Amino acid sequence: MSSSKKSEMMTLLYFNLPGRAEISRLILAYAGADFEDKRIEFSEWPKLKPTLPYNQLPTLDVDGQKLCQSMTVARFLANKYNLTGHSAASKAQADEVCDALKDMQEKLFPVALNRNNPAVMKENLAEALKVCTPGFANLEKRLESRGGQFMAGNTLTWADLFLHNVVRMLTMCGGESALAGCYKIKNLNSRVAALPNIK
Amino acid sequence: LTMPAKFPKVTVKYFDTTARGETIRLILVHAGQDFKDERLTFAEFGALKPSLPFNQFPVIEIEGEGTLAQHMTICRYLANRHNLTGHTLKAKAEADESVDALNDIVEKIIPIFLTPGDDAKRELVDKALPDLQARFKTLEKRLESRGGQFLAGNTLTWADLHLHHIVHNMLAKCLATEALASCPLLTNLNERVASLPNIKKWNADNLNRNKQF
Repeated sequence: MSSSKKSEMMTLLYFNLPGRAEISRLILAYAGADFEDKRIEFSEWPKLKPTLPYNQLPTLDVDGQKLCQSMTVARFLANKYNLTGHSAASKAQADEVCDALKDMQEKLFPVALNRNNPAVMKENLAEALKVCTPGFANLEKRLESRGGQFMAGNTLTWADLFLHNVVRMLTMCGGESALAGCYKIKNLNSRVAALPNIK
Repeated sequence: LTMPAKFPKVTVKYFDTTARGETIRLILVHAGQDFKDERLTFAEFGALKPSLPFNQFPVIEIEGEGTLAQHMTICRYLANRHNLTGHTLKAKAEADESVDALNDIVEKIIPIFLTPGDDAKRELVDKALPDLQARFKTLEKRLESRGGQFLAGNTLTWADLHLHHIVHNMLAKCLATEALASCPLLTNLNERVASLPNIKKWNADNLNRNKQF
């Protein structure tokens, strides 16, 4: 289904921050895909918002149509660029891990947004850690149960890229304590970080 | 439609409610796959909780494959196995997108769903209705832009089953069916799913279940 025509280049539209588009950018970067990484300023947002199908970003323009919803866009790209594993079961394993990571990421957004307000940030971080600490402990067990190398299907999938995304965000928010004892996750994260296109 | 003999046995573990588990059941029911429909009490869940992959319900156990968690992942996996995700990559993405949008709506409905008492529910619905109507209107426009028949790929997908669960079980229980007031296409789609033979029978057979919350 992939097209090599330049005229059909995809456009990923989001704000100028990692946020909910970063996983899609990581997939596209890893795949070495040609795409337009379009970023808007907050001042442009009020005018743009009502024109979007769900009044939300990110969106992906592909084959003349707009695809919405951040996880749907990421999964579509992961499927397109063979980052979902080789079987129905491995796709499900990747989805499952990404669902769990998404829950954690949502808790980290208020922390990241309040970086300039230490008191609020501290409170939000405490809330986030209530989810992230058991969350990463569970993911460590899940990773171990699947062989310890990759989150799904014994091969690199978008779940590993999303793990890297969320770990980076966690660290930036000062939440590293959630990773205490998660040796396999830390190892997987550094392997993903070292991939040429990701670096 | 008989199932190929090699499809592994599936056990669904959830509470005796529809909330965040019914779409799994609808997919299996529509596909005609027998499954073990385990409904556990809060106490039973509590005992099982530490051993669950993410300490949450629902989970499914797939014979020979282990346990899979996360409601939407489970739905998507079973839908893929039973050809309920559309026929192209684009169609699969359309289904995912519709489900994501529906789940944004579910998050607004859940607090009402969990509130005991019809009067209390009605009060919450009155406040939430304009927002719910706007969200369903957005989905209605999306459905229209895709031909008006189905939410994705011009064919029945799990997204349509998920819509039906939300309207038939959640909006109805919350006394919030007016959320679909100016959505004739969604209303029609919901009715068509409701009249699919397996779905119709399942709903009728379950009138006295789903009592936990």
